[in-house]
Amino acid sequence: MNPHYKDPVIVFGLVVPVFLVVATLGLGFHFRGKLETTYEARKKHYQAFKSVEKERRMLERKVHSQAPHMHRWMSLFEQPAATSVNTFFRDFQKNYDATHFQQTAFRPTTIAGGIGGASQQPSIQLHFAFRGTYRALQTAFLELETKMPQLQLDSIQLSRAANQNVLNAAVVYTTWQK
Amino acid sequence: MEALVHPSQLTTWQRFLQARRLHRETTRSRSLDWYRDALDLECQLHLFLDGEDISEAHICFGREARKTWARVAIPSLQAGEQEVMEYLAGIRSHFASGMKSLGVILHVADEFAISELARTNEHPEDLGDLREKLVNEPKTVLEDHSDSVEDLSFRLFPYPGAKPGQQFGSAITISRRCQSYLRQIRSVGQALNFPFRTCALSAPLVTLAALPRLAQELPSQPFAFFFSYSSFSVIAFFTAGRELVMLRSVRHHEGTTPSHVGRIVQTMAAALELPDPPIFTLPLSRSEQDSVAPELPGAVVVDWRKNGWFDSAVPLEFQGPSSLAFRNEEGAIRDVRTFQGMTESGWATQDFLPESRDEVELFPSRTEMRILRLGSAALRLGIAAVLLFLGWTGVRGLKIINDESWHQTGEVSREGNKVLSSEIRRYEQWSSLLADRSKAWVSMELVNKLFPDPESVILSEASHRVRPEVAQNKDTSAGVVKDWTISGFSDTDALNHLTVISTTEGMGKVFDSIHMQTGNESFRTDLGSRTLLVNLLTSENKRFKPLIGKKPEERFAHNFRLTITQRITAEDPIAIPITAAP
Repeated sequence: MNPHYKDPVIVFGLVVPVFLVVATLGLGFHFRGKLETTYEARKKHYQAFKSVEKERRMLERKVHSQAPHMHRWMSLFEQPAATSVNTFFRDFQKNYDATHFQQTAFRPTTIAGGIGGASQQPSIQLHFAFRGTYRALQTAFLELETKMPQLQLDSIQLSRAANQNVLNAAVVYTTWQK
Repeated sequence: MEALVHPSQLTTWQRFLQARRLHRETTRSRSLDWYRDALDLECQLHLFLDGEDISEAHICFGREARKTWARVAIPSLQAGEQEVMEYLAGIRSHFASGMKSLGVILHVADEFAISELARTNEHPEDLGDLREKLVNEPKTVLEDHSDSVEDLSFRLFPYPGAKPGQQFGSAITISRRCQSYLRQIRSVGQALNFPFRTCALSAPLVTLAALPRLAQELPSQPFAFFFSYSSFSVIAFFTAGRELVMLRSVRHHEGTTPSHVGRIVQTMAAALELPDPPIFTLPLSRSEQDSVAPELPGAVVVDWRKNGWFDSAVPLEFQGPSSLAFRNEEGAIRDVRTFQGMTESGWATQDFLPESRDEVELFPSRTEMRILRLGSAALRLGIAAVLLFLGWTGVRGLKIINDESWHQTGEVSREGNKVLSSEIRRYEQWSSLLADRSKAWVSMELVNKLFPDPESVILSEASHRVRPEVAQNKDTSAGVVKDWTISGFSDTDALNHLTVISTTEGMGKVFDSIHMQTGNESFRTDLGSRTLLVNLLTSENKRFKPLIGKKPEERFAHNFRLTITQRITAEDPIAIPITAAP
C-alpha cells in the first residue's frame, strides 16, 4: 500500500462512509423505534379509551334502562312506610263491609327484626292484625305487596274467628328503609 | 485532469481528495492493468534499442504463451510527448476497442555491463534479499563503489552452475538514459486515462530466456554460448547440466567483434575448469550484423529461426519472455535451476527502469483504489439503504400520524364509569332487597292449592314464618328459611289428597304450579340452592260425629298437621343481601 494514501483512504474512503451510514441508519432505527414505541403506547391508550367509552355507553344504557325502576323504588321512600300502609288499608276498607275486612291492630317498631335483622340495610318491622274473609284478606295483601315491594313478609298467622265465616290474621312485615 | 501533487505536500484530507479524484476521473479503480507488470498484459509493444535509437518495433497480443506478432512503425527515442501520444494512439487504433491496456517493453541492446558484487565468492542464503539491496541500495553490495548509482541501474543475475568458491552471480548494469522516455510513455497513458505499462529489459538476458526452446540443439557437456549485438558480445558458460556458470560481455571496438574473442573464450573456460567447451553461436537479431561465426573456429550456429516455436520474422529477444512459460513441458530442462530461476524468480526479465519512487507514490496503490471502490460502493449502498429506510419510515410515519389513535393523548378517566357502575350496583342491591322473597298473598294462594275442595276441609290454623339464616360471617348474603304450618280437619278424600302431595316431589309440583300462576320466583324448585321438606301428621278426629255433628270439627273424620319447610341458601338469587345499598 502507498503509505501516503493508506490512512486517508482507509479513514475517509471506507471507515467514515461506513460509520456515517451505520450511524445514520442506527439513529434512524433508534428514532423509528421511539416512534413505534410512542405509537404503540398511544394505540394502547386509545384502545383503553375506546374500551372505557364502550363500557361507559353500555353502563349508560343499563343505567338508563334501570332509571325508571330506581325512580319508582325511591319514590316508595318519600313518606314513612307505616303511613303508606295505613293509608292503603284505610282506603281498602272503604270497599268492604266491616264484616268482611277490618284492620284490628297496628304496631310499628323502630328496630330491625326478621328478614331485616340479617342485613345492614336499615329496616323496621310493622305488626298488623286483621279480621276478614279469606278472599278479602288475600286481595288486600296482593294489592298492598304489589304497591309496596319494600314490604317483606316475616310471618303470617291465620286462625278461625268466633264468627265462622271470617279469619283472624296476624301479619308481621319487615319494610326496608332508605 | 488537473496536475497531481505529490501526497507528501498535501494534508491528510487533500490526499484523500486526490485519491478520490483519481478514483472518479480515471480507470485506475476499475482496471487492474494499471497495477500489472507490462509483461503480464495481453497486448504488448516490444521495442528493440540497439545503437542510438530504436531499431525494431513489434506488437504482440494473445493470452497464450505463443503470441501473435505484428510489425508496427518504429518510434524514436527523441520523440516529444505529442509525438509519442500520436504514435501510441495509432497503436491503439490498430486494435480498435479490443485493447484494454498496453505493455511497452524496451529491449536494451545497446549496452550490457557486468559489475562485480562484493564477497562474490560467498553464496548468500537469501538471493531475494540481495536482489532488493541491489535495486535500492546498490552501493552496499557492489564491489566497485565508484559506480554511479544515479545514472546506472543494477540487477542481480545468479549463476546456478557456479561451484563453491566461484562467483555466484553478477550485477547486470544498464544506464538510465531511457528512463525519461519510458516516463513519457507512462505520462501519456495518464493523460489518455489508458494503462500504458512500461518495462526495460536487458536484451542479452531475455535471449538467454529463449534457450529452453532450443534445448534440443544444446549438448550434454559443458558448453559456451556466444551472441553479439552492435556494440558488444556476450559469452555464457554452461555446465554439462546446462547450468549457467558465468556471463561475460566483450565490448566491440570499431563496430565489430574483437578478433581475439576466441582466446577470451578459451581463457575463461580454462579458469572455470571447463576444458575445450564447444561454442554455440546465435545469429543476431538483424542478419546483416551476424558476422561473428568465422572468428570462432569450431563454433556451431544455432539457427533459432528454424525452430517451429519461434516466429522467424520477430527478433528472438521479443519472444524470450513468453518462451519462459514452459513450466513442466520440456522434460530436458525441467530440472535446470538456471531456467527454473528465470521462470519463477524472473531473473532474465527484471525491469531495469521501473517507475521512480516519486512516480509510484504519486498514485494510490491497487489496494487503496480497491478500498476507495469498496467504500464508494458501500456509500452508495448505504445511501440507498438510508433513502429506502427514510421512505419506509416516511410511509409508516404518515400511516401512524393519520391513525386516529395517534391524536388520542387525553387522559382516560374511569371515574364516570365508576359512578355508573356504582349506580348499577345500587340498582342491583335494591333489586335484590325488593325481590319477591316472601309475600302473604302468595302464601295464602299456597293454602288454596293444598286444599282445592273447600268443603272437604276445615282449617284450624295456618301460619307462615320467614327467617334469615347466616351460614358464615364472610358471606355477603344470608339464606332464607320459610316454614308453613297448617292444621285442621278433613274428610277422607282431602286426606288422601294431602297424603299424595306431602312428598318433596308432590309439594314441588304444587310450588311449580304456584310459580307458574303467580310468577313469584320464590316458589321455583328448579334451582340447586333450594330444598323442600314436607311433613304430614294425621290422626283420627275423636270429636267426629258423622250423623249428628253440627260444629265443623265434628263433621270430619280426621285431624291433620302439615309442615312445609323451604330452605334457600345464600347463593340463591333471592338470598338476603347483608350489605346496605350504596
